[in-house]
Amino acid sequence: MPQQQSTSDRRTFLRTTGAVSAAGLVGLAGCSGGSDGGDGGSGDDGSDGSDGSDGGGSDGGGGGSDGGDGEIEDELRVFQWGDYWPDGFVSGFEEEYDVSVSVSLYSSNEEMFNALNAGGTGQYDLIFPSDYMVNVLNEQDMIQSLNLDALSNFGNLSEMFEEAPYDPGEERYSVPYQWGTSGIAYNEEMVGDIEVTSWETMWNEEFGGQMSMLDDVRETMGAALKYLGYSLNTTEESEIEEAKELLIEQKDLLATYDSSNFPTNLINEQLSPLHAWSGGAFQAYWETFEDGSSPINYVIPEEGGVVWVDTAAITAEAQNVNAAHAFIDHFLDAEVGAEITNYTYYGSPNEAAEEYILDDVLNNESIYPDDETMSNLEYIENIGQATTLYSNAWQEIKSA
Amino acid sequence: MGRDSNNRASGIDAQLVQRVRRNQWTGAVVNLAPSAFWLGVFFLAPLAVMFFYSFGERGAFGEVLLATENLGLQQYRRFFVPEGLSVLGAVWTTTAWLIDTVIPGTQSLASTQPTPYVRLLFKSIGYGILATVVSFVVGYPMAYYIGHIAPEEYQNLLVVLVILPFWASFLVRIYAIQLLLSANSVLMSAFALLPFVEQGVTLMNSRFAVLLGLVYIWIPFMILPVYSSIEEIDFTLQEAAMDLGADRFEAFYHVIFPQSKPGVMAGSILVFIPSAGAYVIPELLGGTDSQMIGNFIADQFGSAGHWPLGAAGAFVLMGVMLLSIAAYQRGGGDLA
Repeated sequence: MPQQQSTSDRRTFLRTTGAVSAAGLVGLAGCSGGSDGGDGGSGDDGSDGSDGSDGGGSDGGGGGSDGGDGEIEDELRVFQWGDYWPDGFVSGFEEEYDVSVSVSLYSSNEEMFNALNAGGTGQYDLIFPSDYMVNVLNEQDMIQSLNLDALSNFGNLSEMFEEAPYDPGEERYSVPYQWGTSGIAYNEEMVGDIEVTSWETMWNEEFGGQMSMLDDVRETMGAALKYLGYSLNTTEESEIEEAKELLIEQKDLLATYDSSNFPTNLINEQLSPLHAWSGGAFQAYWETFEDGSSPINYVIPEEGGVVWVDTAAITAEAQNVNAAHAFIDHFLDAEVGAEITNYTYYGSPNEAAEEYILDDVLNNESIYPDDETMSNLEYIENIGQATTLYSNAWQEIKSA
Repeated sequence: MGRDSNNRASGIDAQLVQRVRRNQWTGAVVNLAPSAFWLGVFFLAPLAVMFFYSFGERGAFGEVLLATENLGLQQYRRFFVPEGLSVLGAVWTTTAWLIDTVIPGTQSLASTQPTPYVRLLFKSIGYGILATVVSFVVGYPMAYYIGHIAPEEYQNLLVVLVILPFWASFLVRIYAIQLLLSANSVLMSAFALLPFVEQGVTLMNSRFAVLLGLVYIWIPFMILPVYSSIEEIDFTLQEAAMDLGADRFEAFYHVIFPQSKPGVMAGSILVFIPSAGAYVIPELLGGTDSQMIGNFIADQFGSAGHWPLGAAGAFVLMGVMLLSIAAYQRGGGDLA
């Protein structure tokens, strides 16, 4: 089942010009001079398999002995967030594809970015940057375009995630892995059965001294901007100024800015309501789950908030490009995708997986919000030099 | 035979090594090479890179721009000079603001505030001084007790007890303080039994919590040098002073304390420097208003993605540290 050799990354282009028949290379217009690592065994998965059959899709099977074929390398080096797939997930892939996988972990996009910057992108094959970081990595030529033909399960993605504002254009550099939101979480044991619908809650004096906001410029500024009815990617100085004033006003009501301890603070009834990432809120939810219910609630305010998506991308100087494609295709599989979401309780961009996702997760509006809320959510976009406006405002808030 | 010649060879080697080491020039190379290599590669070189970065500019994607046209003092200017002011104006604003803040009563000198970075820097220095003073007040009597009053056979045990907390990780101990200070903890529930203290009160996320954390972590560095000074004091001098008519306090103040001063100075430096540059403690124990310069620097290298400004901040902080060491040396301290 021959697979069309239709797209290629620019490294392959450099490698193959003048050597292998580069038939059907498209989408190379405007490529901005990639870096060639001079490794072996890269290349597009161009040997066979034309349709989107699932399960072990890109098994290569090409005849060539080196270079340009789709042979899956026997090694894969992954750089991933901590605790982001169920136990046995990696070993399942290793057995199925006969690839030995080594996984290194990071805890923030910036940490990952700095590591790649300092030691070169060749250290890892597959990384999992969040939306805005895809944009940054792409601009700096640190990731390579994907060979969608090698991803037989790509069509499993829901329409909403197939299009990505952070990764526009013909060529794709990233494949969504999991997504989530930020909103307001609270423990009923602490504040009673309150009704939270708006960001206004976080400015409610009734909860003075027992609230916290995320210690993250764009998240917290974003919440204030949304409350004011602006876009959280605004570059208008006056709007940023207004959000700043609002957050300074809020400061007296807060116990702290915190993005690492909030699940614990929810569980131990220390702080509520608080500004939370959905993942941390669900962690607290399950930690306190007893007799079919939990006192932890998570709400996405009606004004909307941040939606984020973590993606998989292949580094520019990856040594094991085919294995990386195979790994991406593996998690795009419907059942595998469901398995991940049933473990993490983050939303899955994988529409085909919904069949296998637990009903508890699927029907939970704080994981899968309704369409109207969904339309109010925004990605945090890279806004270039305007970032400085945000960090200046943040600094003034912190030292006000 | 073989063994013999081996022995002889190693004898010659040993001699050679001795000669090389004793020679004024080669000796310096051999003895200093390992530490020089270590410090050069892992301390000086990265420091030089950061120093260079501090003159750069931030690119649109958080990368560092270091082309000639980007180099300059703009990050330092940004750190010290509020927008729309001249350098002189900034000096005046900062001084006026400091006088306003430190001396109560005068509330009108400064018309504009200095940059948030400068305010943060002085706040961190303030935390550092406060932590040093508290460590001194709490640590000096303890060192005095261990070095002079405690029976000699227990001295070593007491010193070990001072060092004991270092057996547990720094981070674990900070989390332990977090548990103690949060609402409904054992400690806070005990406090709630007191009159005028409300149930469910918490000391977490406050300046007090940060100060407590700083003192708790760094106080051994005050106690140990003071102890070693006090231990060496000849206490018959105290008796002599009292024989000559000094009372207990005078004898301590004029005879004993001056002799323990080197220890106090060394201890103060050792507490002040890590306290003013603290990062983890305000991060984990602090509230909305307890950010310190260390957090700011970490932010610039992390989420804010502004390495040049972070580097500039780090070098300003380093300048403060160097100044405090200079002050210490002028105050008669000896770093050795």
